[in-house]
Amino acid sequence: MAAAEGSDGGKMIVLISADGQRFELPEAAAKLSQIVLYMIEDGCCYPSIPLPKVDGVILAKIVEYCNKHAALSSGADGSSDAASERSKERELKIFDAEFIDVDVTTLFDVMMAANYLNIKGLLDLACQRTADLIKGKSPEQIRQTFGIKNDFTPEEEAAIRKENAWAFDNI
Amino acid sequence: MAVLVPMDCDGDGGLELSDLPDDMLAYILDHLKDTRAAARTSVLSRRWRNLWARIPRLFFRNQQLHDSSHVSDALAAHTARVAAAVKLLYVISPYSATPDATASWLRVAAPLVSGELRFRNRSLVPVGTLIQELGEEMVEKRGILELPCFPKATVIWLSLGFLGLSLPPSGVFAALRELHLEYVQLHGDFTLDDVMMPFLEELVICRARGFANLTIKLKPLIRMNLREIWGLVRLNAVVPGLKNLWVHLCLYSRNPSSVCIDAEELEELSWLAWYDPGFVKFNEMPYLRMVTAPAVFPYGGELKVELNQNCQKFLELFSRIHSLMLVVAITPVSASSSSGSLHDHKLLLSGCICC
Repeated sequence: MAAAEGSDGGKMIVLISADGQRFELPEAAAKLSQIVLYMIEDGCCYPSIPLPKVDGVILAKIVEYCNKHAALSSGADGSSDAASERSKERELKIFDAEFIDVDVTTLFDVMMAANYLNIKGLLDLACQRTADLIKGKSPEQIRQTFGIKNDFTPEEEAAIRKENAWAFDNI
Repeated sequence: MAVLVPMDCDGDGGLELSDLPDDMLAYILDHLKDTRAAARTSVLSRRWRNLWARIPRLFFRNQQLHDSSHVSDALAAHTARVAAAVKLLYVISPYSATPDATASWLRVAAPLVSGELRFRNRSLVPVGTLIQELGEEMVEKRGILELPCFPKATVIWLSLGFLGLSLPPSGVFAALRELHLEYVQLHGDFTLDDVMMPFLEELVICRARGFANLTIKLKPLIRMNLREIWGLVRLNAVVPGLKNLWVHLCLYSRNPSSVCIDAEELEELSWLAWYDPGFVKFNEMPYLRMVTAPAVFPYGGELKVELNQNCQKFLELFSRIHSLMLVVAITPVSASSSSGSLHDHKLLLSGCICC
């Protein structure tokens, strides 16, 4: 079966979201997902790859991430000097920071989709963002931020604090 | 992360933190890179109680100089909750931790770490200050850290802030592949051999202070990097499998007695150090391809003659060299003493000559 070709002559891959939306992206970008990579290697990527567990809104985000990272990955445009590598790294860092600055619902959707599609860089980015939201907060503030219901009795909670005194003591 | 988990989104409400599977929550806690903060989530709810203990990488900042009991307590609590191995234990002491306080958590950690052990002492001390201490004659005595045997660790990386180091009298580091020591105070004899570290492939000793008499007898060693060991006076290396050897900024003190290197398989030799055929002996190195010679100084005072002879004598060791890296050190003359001082010792040019 003939492969679709993009404007620059590279192969294009079509992903179909759970709600039937169609996303076309360069093969190099699609391959950032290990799952998609395996499907491409096994030749089962034409005419399209259905992703029944990923919603269109989230898949659009994922495609945006993959496109940017594939375009700026080292050696993508043939240049390999240290200065351009550093500027690309900076650009990716800025992109990542803006990309992941989303509400927590979107954050968790992106995280689970990245886990399902096995895109390690994106999974780590989402987990790091969540960790940053936990950092520096008291247990009560964490419960409030993430809507966690405390199902301990006060006595139980006190017992756990005592048990893990090494984590709660001011040192 | 290798696990695949079903997306159990209920369709309309969107995901919340509580909808994520336990493995994912543990993975998030892992990204805190702070084991105490991770363990404080144990009080959030029943579900969170033991999640922190699933993290295979443990990170601690040890603020106290004399007390590191929270590291020991945490390791004990972690072990009690999961049988999972510790893949990384990383302890940072911003200030000068005492040898005893450090050794006490190291002893608890020794049987548990099956991956990397990393310890950085005096992390708040700027590198410039540490380098200055490297050259000081009179130094504060910080004591000697007794490293216990880590039978399962694959990497040991210690930045000791000039604590001394003593190795265990017995025991086998049976999984150790990489050993990296920096800012360490040496006290004479320091021996690493196959009996203690039968699988060591990479050894780095960097910025060591004190009189050093190194004996390195390691058959499987592939890479060895000795850098800025100021008090190095004797080096006896029997390393038949070594491929890469770097000796940088060593042996400039005027009392070295003997250096003997037996590395038959060596392919790369980088010797940016003092060389004197009177006390440095290399055994046959038939597979050598890449050589970096001591720096050449085209400009400079009287010292340059001696330094350039150093390079010349080194090159006379070889009848032919496949690739030679020649470092040409040009010390710029500063136009104004205030602005130029920073760059006084910067190397402006290093060239590669292939013969």
